[in-house]
Amino acid sequence: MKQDLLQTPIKICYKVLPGRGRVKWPIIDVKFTHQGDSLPQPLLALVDSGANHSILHPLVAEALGFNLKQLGPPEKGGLSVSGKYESWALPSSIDIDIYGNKFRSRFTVINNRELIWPCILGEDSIFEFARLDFRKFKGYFEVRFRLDIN
Amino acid sequence: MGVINLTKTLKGKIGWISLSKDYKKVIAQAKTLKELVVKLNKMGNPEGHIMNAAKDYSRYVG
Repeated sequence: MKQDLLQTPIKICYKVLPGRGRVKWPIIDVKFTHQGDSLPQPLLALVDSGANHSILHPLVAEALGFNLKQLGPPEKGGLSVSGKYESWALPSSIDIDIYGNKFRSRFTVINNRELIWPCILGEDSIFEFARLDFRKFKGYFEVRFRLDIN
Repeated sequence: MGVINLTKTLKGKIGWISLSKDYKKVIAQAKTLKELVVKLNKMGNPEGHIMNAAKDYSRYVG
């Protein structure tokens, strides 16, 4: 079995956000660019190994130049732990920059403006680009980006 | 290497916010992301992080 070609690890601290139980969240900085549109600062994105799609908040998609109304009605039939959801699959990829490592990724936009996360990076984005080692008990996780892509 | 605790910084904050690079203060806040981006542009786009501030994240299950 070939050994994975990976960068040296980047250590990222878990972050505690308001709420009960002092939950530690794996959150990373992600810069987004789409066809000339970008946000002035990186977004804090949740890393979620339980999500098979990577998700963008509808307001983030609009800020990146996507006209959701022009995409037609959102697709029904999405399922999550909280029940059914409607979504749009964005028609083009978005350039993402994670700590200087650049990739292109597809995103799904959930039709819910109350979504608390601006972005959720799931199995189809960061887990394709990097190896992640979660050490919650130590308060950090490590990201090792692949060297065999880009 | 410790956990970064944002509970004090985010206390009472709701909506779109920009946090300073060291996560210690809120640089700008707005009801919508579009309004936040306009505010940051007027401030000369300082370094920081954008997030959506909520009262309680702990009930989220991904």
